[in-house]
Amino acid sequence: MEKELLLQVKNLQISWLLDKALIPIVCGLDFSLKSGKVLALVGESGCGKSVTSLSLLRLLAKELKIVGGEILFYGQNDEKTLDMAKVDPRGKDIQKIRGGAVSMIFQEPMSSFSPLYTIGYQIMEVIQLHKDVSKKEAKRITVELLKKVGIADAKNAVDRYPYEFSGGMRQRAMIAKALSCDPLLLIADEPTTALDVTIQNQILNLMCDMKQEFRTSIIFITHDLGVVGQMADEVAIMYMGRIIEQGITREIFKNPKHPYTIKLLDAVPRLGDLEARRRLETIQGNVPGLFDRPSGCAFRPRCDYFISGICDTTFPDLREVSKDHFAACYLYGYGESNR
Amino acid sequence: MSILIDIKDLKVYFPVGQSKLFNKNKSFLRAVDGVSFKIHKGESLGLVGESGSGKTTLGRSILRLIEPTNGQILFKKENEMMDIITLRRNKLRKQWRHMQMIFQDPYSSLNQRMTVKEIIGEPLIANRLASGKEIDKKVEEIALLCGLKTRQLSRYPHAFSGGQRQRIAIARALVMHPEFIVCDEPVSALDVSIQAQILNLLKDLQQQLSLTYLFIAHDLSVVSYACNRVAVMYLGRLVEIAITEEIYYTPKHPYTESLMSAIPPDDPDLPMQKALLKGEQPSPVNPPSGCTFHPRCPYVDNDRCKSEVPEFREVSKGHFVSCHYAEKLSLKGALEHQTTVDLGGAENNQQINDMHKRRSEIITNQKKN
Repeated sequence: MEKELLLQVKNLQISWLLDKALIPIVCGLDFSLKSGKVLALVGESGCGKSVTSLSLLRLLAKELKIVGGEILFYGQNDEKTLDMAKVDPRGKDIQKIRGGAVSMIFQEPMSSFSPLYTIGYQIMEVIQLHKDVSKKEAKRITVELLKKVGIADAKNAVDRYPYEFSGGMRQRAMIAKALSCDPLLLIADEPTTALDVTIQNQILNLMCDMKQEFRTSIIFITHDLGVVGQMADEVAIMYMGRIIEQGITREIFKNPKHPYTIKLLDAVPRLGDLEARRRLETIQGNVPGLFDRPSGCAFRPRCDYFISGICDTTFPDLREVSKDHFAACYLYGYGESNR
Repeated sequence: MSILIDIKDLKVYFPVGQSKLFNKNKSFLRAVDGVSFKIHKGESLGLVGESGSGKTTLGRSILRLIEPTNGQILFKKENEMMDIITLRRNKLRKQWRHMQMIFQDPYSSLNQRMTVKEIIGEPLIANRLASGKEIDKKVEEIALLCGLKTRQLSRYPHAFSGGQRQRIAIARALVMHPEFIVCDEPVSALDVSIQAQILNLLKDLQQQLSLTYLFIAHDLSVVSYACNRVAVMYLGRLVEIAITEEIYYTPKHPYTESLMSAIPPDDPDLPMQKALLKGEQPSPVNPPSGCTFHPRCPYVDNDRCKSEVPEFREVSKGHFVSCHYAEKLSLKGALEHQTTVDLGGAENNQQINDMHKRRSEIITNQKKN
């Protein structure tokens, strides 16, 4: 039961429709998630991690189109498998899942609640939509939820408006809303980026507890490697719309293989550097723009190991470098076939 | 080390609420409430705290971008300490040559309608420090130092990425060769790899131009990398100031302890830190009595904390704390074991050697075919 597959993304491709031209944003993403597990998608801005997360619930803007691939959601035992990439984004099927079996926490706790309705109303709305309960019952559940996420004086807090909540409280209310219908999958898009360390610590603890209590799977989107180390079972490192390295968190942190991952881990200032005061490693140059995507491996213009004639041909596949650890680089798994 | 800036009992209050015609009892938001500290020449002093603790207000009021309500800001100039607060506007403008600011958001702090050259050169023109060809020369010089290319100078800010824009902002701050820079969250809007570039740049410039920084940030790992000394702020007051190692590993104030323990260790083998700090920062309009931290302090035990404001005192050399029980408490610092996470060490070198070996193997194979 515990290890069953919940979500499988196969060769997902998303493009930006611009004056009839299609600019690729996400180019062939494969990952899967088992129930009760946490997967972290890590990458710099513009790598397509937020677009990916939005596409899972079909919340993409009109200009962004899923041009290929499948998003298979297995759901509960009795439900049939649903390919979310194919359903109508305004249709009944997706609306049933959205906020119900799959829910989302957004980055901006400031702007993700409507200022015109009370916090309680906005959470009750979700509950009444997905569960067959009376208004009174929905309110009772809401108060329970707010209590659970650690909002003091929950009974009165339900009738307050978002502006009366601080950033940390709003993010907690957001989590309460996301958890209101016992989701199987929670997508958290940079849930703590806008918060202070102390509040971040509280929110992460809360999410850990929720994971254990409800066996919710979480897709965690972030660029904070410290948070990843604490939360995730598995990590996928993204660069320009592709996963370039994927594996168990411990493996990725202790034994990174892809040149980009190594540089990325080295570029983060850590407390351990206090004595050493080493210079931070930097990755030369910038992430290329969407319009001048390099041929072959997207990281090649910034890579120290660039091999002309190989790296600039086609994009390397993810190949296994050790057990459950994959990297997409011509340095790994390609040498043998050439010999 | 000689003292560059000496701040004494600085207060910045903002009036809040409606002021009625006959009601003089206006309430105040105490953004900065009696802060005293010294900044040494050539150091980077970090200023940390939760949002709303008054970090930015303090940073700006030192430059008098926000007018302080009370206190003294003494700036050392030609071996004399000059009080910035008493300066008239025209004198203050002259003083700004020596103290500049780098802002958080490089997307909104640059004028969209000016070319990079105009942006960097504007302080020179405004202060009549250079004219004609001389401006171009000085702008190019500083732009080069900040890692910008000469051909980029005629472009507009929209053509640049976040990291490049922050370089422009840094060049603008440095063009008059100031001694003191307030860096207000200079890297928090940037990506990890770009953040590292800017942090390195700030460090290099500090050495080359012997700059003094006040470095405001909420990311504690960034501060540990960038600063020699760190000041911790809570609800408009300083609660602790000491050299970086002491703040991180042997904090003396319970608030500092809870901040440090909240840093997520990036070692996946370590268990999650339990949240020490409950609740949220109280409103600075109506701060708690006595020690302002007492409602959240895990060690609060008697009336003294609730009634008596703790003095900001020196407990060991250069280590100031405002807690009644600083000597008695034994507090935990940031996790020591984080030092053992070693990606820059021998293991990594072996990895890099292995990758170079693989690369040359592939190249030889390529040639054979």
